[in-house]
Amino acid sequence: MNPVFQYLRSSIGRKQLMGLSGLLLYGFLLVHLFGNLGLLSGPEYFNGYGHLMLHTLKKVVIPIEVLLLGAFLLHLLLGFKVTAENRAARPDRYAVRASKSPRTGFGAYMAVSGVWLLVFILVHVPHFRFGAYRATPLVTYNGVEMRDLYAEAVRSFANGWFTLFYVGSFLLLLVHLAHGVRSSLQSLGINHPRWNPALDFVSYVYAVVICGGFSGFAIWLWSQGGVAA
Amino acid sequence: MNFKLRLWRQANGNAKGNFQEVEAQGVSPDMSFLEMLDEVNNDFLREGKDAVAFESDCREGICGTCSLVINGLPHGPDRGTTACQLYMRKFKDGQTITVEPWRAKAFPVIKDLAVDRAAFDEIISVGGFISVKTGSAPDANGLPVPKRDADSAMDAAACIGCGACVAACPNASAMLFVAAKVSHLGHLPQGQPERQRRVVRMVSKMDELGFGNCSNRNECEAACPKEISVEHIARMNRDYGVSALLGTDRDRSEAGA
Ligand code: FES
Repeated sequence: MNPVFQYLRSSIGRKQLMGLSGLLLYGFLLVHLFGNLGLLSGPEYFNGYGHLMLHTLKKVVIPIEVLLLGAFLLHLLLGFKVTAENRAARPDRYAVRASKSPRTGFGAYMAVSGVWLLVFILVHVPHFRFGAYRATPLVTYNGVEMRDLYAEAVRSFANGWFTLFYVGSFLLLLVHLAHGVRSSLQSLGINHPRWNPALDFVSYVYAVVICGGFSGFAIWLWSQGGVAA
Repeated sequence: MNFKLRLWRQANGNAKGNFQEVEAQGVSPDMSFLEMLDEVNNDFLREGKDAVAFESDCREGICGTCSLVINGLPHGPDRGTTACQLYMRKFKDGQTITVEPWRAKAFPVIKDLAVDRAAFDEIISVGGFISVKTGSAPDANGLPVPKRDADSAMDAAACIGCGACVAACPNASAMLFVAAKVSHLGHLPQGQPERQRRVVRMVSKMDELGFGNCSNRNECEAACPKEISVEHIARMNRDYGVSALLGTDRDRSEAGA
């Protein structure tokens, strides 16, 4: 059998792909969070940033988006497959369930949080990434017409339910990452007693920064009450 | 001490099982869990009933034959202890204790609490060995082994193959068992010739036998009576990636050595 094919079919090969794709998506979130910082500089700056990314730098950004989409689909499909196999590996459940592991807590919710995040992405990406070609209002700065993503964000987050949906999703993201990051590293073979406390620390801090950051923006926009600054 | 036991009874692998409730009375706190079950069985036999089947051999925590899930925990509540080394004083008087078999598709029930762990033998048979020079005994210290490697190999070699890792894993994965064998032999100079084919073949066999995938919940490590660390799993993950992608065709093939 072809070595790559054999590797990709094996339990360990798939877990390593799962981990790599997860880490890639996770890294993207930091870039996204930096982009959101532009909200603090007001509409002109933020909309300019969106225009730069989605229009001016199209040739660079679209291949990256395709890569992220690929990683996302792979992560999703492997997630479903591995979960189904794992259920099949224990056809009869235990009558009494107990645990001696300190790590199991968050790990038990990977499939649930993963499915929720899928729903979130299906709502979020069409709205803010492709909304221009539907309903996002347009503005013109210095003769360049662009999407008014700032106004769209302010308008959307004025709705309390919308904000709650976002913040709730970020909490589930926190749950997903609290297990996912260290788990990915373990699948890739990164585990050493000298470095484990540091890895734990960095992965937890990172998860809190990402989720806290995104939630902070959602709540801040909501608190603006729909009035564009 | 008195206990209320809920014992899993299942006539064979195809039959439907259910719990049988029994009272265990006058149990000495110094009895092991298995001795307590022996007494229950004696009562069953006196009453002309079918004794409950469970496995044991050494009863001193070194053979890996005993295999009971006690109140949801393989080998019971103690850390680093097999069921045969678990004493009744660890339980509260009057407590209800539920006893189940290892549950995994790859470990079919033979009867009651006894399961068939031949799947582990199959995994061992494809790579859990080394080639040795037969004949005169080698010189002591003829092969230098760094202390750190010797220690890691020894930690992994402590595996008694009981299968508690599979029983404890939410996915019934055999990763800790396989990793222990791969680490035990792969750390030592004697294990190098087969190092790549060992990891590839043992993992392929494990996948084929219907064990689940590892999701790094570390339940195995916590349940292991020999407290084998999931670091060995990380090491196997590294070894597997390298060997599967870079190993020779012969190393990756199913065939024997
Ligand atoms: S009977 Fe040998 S380890 Fe328990």
